[in-house]
Amino acid sequence: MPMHRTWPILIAALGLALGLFPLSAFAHLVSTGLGPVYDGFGHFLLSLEDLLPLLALMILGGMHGEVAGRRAMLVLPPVWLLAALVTALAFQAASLPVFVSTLLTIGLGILVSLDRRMPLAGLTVLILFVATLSGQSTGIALAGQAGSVLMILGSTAALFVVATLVPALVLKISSRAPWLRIAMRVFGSWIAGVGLLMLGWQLRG
Amino acid sequence: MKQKFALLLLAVMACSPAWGHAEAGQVSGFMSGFVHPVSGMDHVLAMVAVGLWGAQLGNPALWLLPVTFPLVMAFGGFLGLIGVPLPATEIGIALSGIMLGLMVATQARPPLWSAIFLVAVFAIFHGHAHGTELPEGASGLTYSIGFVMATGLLHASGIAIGLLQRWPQGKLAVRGLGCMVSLGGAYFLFGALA
Amino acid sequence: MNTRDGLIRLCIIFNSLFLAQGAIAHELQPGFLQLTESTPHQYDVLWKQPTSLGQPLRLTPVFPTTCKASSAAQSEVLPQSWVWRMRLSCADGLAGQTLSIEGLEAFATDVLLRVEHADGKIETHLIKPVDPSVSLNSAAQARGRWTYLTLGIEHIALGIDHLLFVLGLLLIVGNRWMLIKTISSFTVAHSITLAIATLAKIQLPAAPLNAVIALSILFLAPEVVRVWRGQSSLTIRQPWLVAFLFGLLHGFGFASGLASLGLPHDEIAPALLLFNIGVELGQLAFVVLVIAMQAAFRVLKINWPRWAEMIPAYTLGSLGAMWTIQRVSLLFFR
Repeated sequence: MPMHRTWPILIAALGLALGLFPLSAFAHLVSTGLGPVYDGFGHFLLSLEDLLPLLALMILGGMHGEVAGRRAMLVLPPVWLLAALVTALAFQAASLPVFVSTLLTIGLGILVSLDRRMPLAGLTVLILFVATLSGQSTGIALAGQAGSVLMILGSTAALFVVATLVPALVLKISSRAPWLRIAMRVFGSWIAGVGLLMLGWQLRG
Repeated sequence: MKQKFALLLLAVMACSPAWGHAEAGQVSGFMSGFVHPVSGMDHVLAMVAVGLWGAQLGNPALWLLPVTFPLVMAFGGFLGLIGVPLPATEIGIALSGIMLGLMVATQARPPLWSAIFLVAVFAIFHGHAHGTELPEGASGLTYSIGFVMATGLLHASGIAIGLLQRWPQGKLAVRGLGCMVSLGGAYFLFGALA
Repeated sequence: MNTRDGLIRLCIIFNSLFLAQGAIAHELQPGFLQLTESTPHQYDVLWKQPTSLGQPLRLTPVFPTTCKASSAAQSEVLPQSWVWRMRLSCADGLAGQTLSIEGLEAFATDVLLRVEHADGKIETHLIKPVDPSVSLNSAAQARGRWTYLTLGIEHIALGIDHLLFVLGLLLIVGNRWMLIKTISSFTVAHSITLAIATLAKIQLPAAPLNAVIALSILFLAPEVVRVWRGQSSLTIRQPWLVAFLFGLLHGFGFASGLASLGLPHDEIAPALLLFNIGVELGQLAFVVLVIAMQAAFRVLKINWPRWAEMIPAYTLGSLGAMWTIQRVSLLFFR
C-alpha cells in the first residue's frame, strides 16, 4: 500500500470513532448495553475532560516525529492502565482535584501551540506524568462500579486505538505542508483555550 | 490535499452534533457556546476583521494571529468567569471593530509585535464579555468547546475572505470590507455611549 | 516476513480483551415480549425469557396497573428460552401507558418489545438496560423497525468469533483489491445464508454450527503463519474463496440471533434486511479500524519484536482451538 494512501483511511477511522459518539452517548457512565468492556470503551471516548489533555499529548508526540509518536503509542496505554487499575483497586477512596486535568489541558495545549522541539527524554517524562494522572482520574471515576476492571480494560483499548491513530495522523499531516503544521498549532491553542475557560468555570464554582 | 484537510475539519465538526446527543445540558451547553460568539454582530465583525488583517499582513502574522487569538480570548473569558472586572467592555468591543476595520481599510503594517498586542488587548475584551454573559446551568466543557470552535471558525472565514488578496480587485474589496467593519464598529460605539 | 504489517498484531491483544465477556455474551439472546390486542383492550401476551446456562434470567415484564391477568400464565421450556403465554385485560388499553422490564439493568442484554394494536398498528421497541421502561404510543411506530438495525450491530459487536474470522482474513489478504474482494465475498456469502435461514425458517442445530465456526477460525491461524514465512497456499492465493465458503456458515450463525426472536411472518423481510445492514455496518467499522491501525503502525514505523508479531496468529490459533474443543465436547456431553 503506497504511503500517500494511508491517511484517508486514518481520517476515515477518526471520523468513524467520532461518529460513534451518538451511539453510546449517555453522559458519564456510559451504558452501551454491550457489557462492561464496551462500556469502558465508550466511557473513555466520552469523558472529554479526561480525553482532551491526552489528545493534546498525542498531537505533541506526533509533531515530534516518528520516535516520539511511537513512544506516545507504546508508553501511554500501559502506564495509564496500571495507574487506573491500581487506583480503582487499591485506592478507592482517593480523590483528585477537578482542576488537575484542566491544568494539564491548558499546559499541553500551549505546548502544542508553541511547537518548540523538546528532548525525547523530557517528552517521555511528560508522557509518564500525564498517563499516571489521567489513569488515576479514570480509576477514581470507575472504582466501585460493577465490572470496573473490565471497564478499565475497555478504556485502555480505546486509549490504545486513539494513541495509535492520532500521532500517526498528526505525523502524516504535519510533515505534509507547513500550513498543515500550523493547523495543528491552532488546534493546540483551541485545546488550551477550552482548558482556560473550563478553569474559569471551575473556579467560579 | 486541501479537500482532505476539509475532511478532517468536517470530522471535527461532525462530533459537535454528536456531543449534543449526550444529554440535554450538554446539548444546550455546546449550542449556546457555539452560538454565543456568532450571535453578536459586534463580535463577528471584529473577529472576521482579525482574519482579514492577518491575510493582508501575510506570514508570520497570518498564522501567529489564529494561534494566539483563541488563547488570549479564552483568557479574557477566564477573567470574566472568575469575576475580575474590566471597565467599559462594550466600548472596548466597539472600539476594536473601529480600529481593526481601519487597519484593514488602510492596509496598515505596524511592527508585528504591536499588531499582536493590539489584537490581544481587544481579544481580552471580547472574551471577557462572553465570560460574564455566560448562561447559568449550561455544561461548562461543551460550552467552552463550542465557544472556542465558533471563534476559530469566524477567524478562518476572515482568512478565507482574505484570500481575495491575490487579485488587485480583491485587494480593494478586502479594504472595502475593512471600511464596513469600522463603520459597524462606529455604530456599536454610538449604541454603547448613547 | 515483514511484508505483512507487523503491527496489526497488537490489535489482537485488545481484541482478546473483549473475549472474557464476549464468550458469555454471545450466548445471551435478547428477550422478546409480544402483546397482541385480539379484541379491544384484551391482549395476548407472549414472553420469551432468555436463559443463560439453562437458567432463566431474572427478568419480569411490569404491566401498567390498569391491566389484570385474565388467564393463568402457561410456561414452556425451550433450549434457549422459557416461553410464557397469558391473557391480559387492560381497562384503558395500552396506548400511552408505560411498560418496563424489571431486572434488566443487571444484564447485558436487550428485550425486543412488539405491540400489535387492535387497529392494526404495530410498534416495536428495543428496551435496553440503560432505560428499562418504555412508554407505548400507538401513533409513534415510525422508527420502531430501526431497532433491528441496532440488534444487528450489537450481534456483530458481541460476536467475537465472527470478528476474529474477519481479522484472520485481513491478515492474509495481500493487497487492497484482494481485500475488497475477500470482504465482499464474505459479506455476500453470509447474507445469502442469513436470508435463506430466516425466510425458509431453516435452523441449523446451534451446537455443531458453533463448532464449525470455531473451526473456521482455527483453520485461518496456520495460513497466517504461512503468509509470514513467505509460503503460499490456495487460501493465500485466493482468500476470497475461503471467505465465501466459511461465510455461508457464519450466515447461519447470524440467523440464530434473529430467529431466536420468533418474529411474526409479515415482519420478517424488513427485519432481516435491517438486521443484515446492522451486521455489515459493524463489520465494516471493524475492518476500517483494523486497516487504520495497520496504516498508523506503518506511519510510525514500528518494529515489533518477534513475539509480538506472532501474537495474532497464536491468538487466532489458540482461541479457535479452544472454542472448537469446547463446542465439540458440548455436542457429546450434554
